[in-house]
Amino acid sequence: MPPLILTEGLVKEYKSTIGKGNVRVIDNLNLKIEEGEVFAFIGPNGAGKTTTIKLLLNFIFPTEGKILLFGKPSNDISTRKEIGFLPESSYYYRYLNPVELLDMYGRIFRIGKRERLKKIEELLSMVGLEDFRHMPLRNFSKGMLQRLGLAQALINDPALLILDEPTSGLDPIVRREIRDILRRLNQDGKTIFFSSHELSEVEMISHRVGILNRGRLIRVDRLNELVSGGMAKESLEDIFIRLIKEDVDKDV
Amino acid sequence: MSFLLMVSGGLLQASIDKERLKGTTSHDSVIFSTPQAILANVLGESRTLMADILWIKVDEYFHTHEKGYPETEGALGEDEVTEIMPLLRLITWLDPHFIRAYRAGGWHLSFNLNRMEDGKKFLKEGINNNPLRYELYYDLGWVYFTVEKDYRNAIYYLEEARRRRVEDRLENKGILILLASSYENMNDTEKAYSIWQEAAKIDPGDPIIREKLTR
Amino acid sequence: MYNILIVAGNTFREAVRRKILHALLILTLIIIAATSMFSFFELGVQVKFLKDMSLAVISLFGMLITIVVAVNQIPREIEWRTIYPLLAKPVKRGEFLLGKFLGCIWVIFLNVGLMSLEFMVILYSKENLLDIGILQAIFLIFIELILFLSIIIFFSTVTSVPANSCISLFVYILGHMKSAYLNYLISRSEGIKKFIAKSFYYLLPNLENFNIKEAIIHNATVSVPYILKAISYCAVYTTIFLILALFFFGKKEL
Repeated sequence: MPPLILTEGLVKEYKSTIGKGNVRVIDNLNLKIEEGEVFAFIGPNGAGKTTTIKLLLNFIFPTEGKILLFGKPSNDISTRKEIGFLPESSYYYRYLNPVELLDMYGRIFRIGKRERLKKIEELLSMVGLEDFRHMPLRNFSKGMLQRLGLAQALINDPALLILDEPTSGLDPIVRREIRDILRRLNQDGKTIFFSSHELSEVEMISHRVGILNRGRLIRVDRLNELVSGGMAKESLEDIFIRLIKEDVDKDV
Repeated sequence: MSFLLMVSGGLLQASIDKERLKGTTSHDSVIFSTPQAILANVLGESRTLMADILWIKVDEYFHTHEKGYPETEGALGEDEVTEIMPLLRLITWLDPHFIRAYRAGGWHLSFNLNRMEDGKKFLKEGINNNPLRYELYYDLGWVYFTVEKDYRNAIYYLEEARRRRVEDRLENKGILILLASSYENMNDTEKAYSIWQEAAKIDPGDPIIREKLTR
Repeated sequence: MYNILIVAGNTFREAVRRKILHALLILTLIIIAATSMFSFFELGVQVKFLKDMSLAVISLFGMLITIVVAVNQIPREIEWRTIYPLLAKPVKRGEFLLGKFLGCIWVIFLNVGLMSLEFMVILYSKENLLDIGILQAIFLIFIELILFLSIIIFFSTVTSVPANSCISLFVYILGHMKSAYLNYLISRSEGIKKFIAKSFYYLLPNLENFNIKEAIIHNATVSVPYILKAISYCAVYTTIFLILALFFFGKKEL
């Protein structure tokens, strides 16, 4: 099986709004995500995490470099059949209810009606929204929307989950619920690629970690090696801050 | 490909324009606004509606002078006619196919305000905008016959009215009566007689027509 | 094709639940009903007024409804990020855009249909016959709105919502005015000015082609070839604007 995600020499530049020249927001990114792993993509605000995810899913276009999903170019629409995506702080169609939303997404994957209805019930139950199946989404809280987001990302039973800050802005109870779901999904064989600010969570569920700073991947390592390779009694947060500081100092 | 489509659009536009500006003698062809009515086009879809609203105002003047309205019974006074003329002018600018407004305006200018030339000009403008309708040819024929005693021009316009489709039986008879009388005044008795016969088919009991045919 | 229908269905479902559309539709229905209650001294004038007013209202409110439904379709999806979960699935950008377009057509059809139904019922009660000319006029209003919709969808891929609203309104007015103005210019110009005026006249969309209200109000008939030409004209320009929209949307960074 080829890597589920492979980027080579990925560069993204934008025209500068002040002064001349371009701003390089992703700089020579080389990423490789293998089947079955949980990969955490961490970095400070503005590092380029969401930009990377948008590039992977062809929402924006690379300036240079190659992106392959399941060994195929990222603009190949067939790759989407095996991907589930949870955007950061996303809204869904306000006038729909969860059943209508999941039904619509299910039809896109050509899931038959009976199977679709069964799946919708299972997913709503899994994310704890079965009692709200007919409530319009405009009445949902942020946590409920995020849980629903996870449900829609799983409607096609994807091999690869791409999650952009899945627990951002959620209370600890909901965060834990989502972590548990992700753990179970990985145990079922799903590959998870997610970005996060919550380093404690990253420590709880990830196999590998990639640290991004100013568009550059400054470190990729297995979590246990990253933590054990650090100074004594250093948490992932300490290591993260240290590596970022070193990277900044290097440029200075 | 977009350019090719635009070219086809241009060709279609030319074809549509031909259809929109077509002038035939058949009543069943299309009546559209003349492209020169820029004022009218600026107001777009609402202009004919505004014409209708103004006509309501004009309509009030006419009908409050009917019997049953004792305060205002009688013909329109000169002041009132002067008041409605601008409204009629505006109505025809907004809707060049508002036949009633041309008829009312032509009548009042020619008979009530004694502005014959203006009245004829107004009716001719209406004819220009509505070449397929009979009414304004009839009215102009009436003006030439009754007021100016210009039977040659009366015949011209009444013949044009006769050539067009006239749905109203009474008006159709009226056209033929005036036309026959015009031919008589031009000493073309043969032509006049044939038209009296045609009028008799519409209303055989009409005393004027019967009298003319028995002579 | 199936994805286009899914997106269209969702667009329709979402749009018909919006309160502003309900308000516009109800207002239109009230105006048409109120118009029928005007009493004049001559029935002919009353019927003319009813036809005039109703067709003008259907056209005007049809235009407003089209703007309200369409101007925000794509920008709102991007702003609220509802587009991301959808395009992360096997849905092409082109399918998304065409689905939006088709869904909006269904909404416009429903609204124009309801307004027209009320109008036809009232007219039938006054004239006791079905006026085919009115049906033709309403049909062409609907066709015009499809073309207008394609223009709005195109501009929504390249401009912001406020700019698109203003541009669309301007395009609607210009589309009705241009033939008169450009014909005036053509008749009074020579040489290169005349050539430019003529080029603009023939190449820019002319919405006045779909306006047969005057003919209908004055009880003339419109030929079937004319109707077919108008439909073809709409098809040509709608295709142009959709091709442009697909091109710019395909290149748009979301």
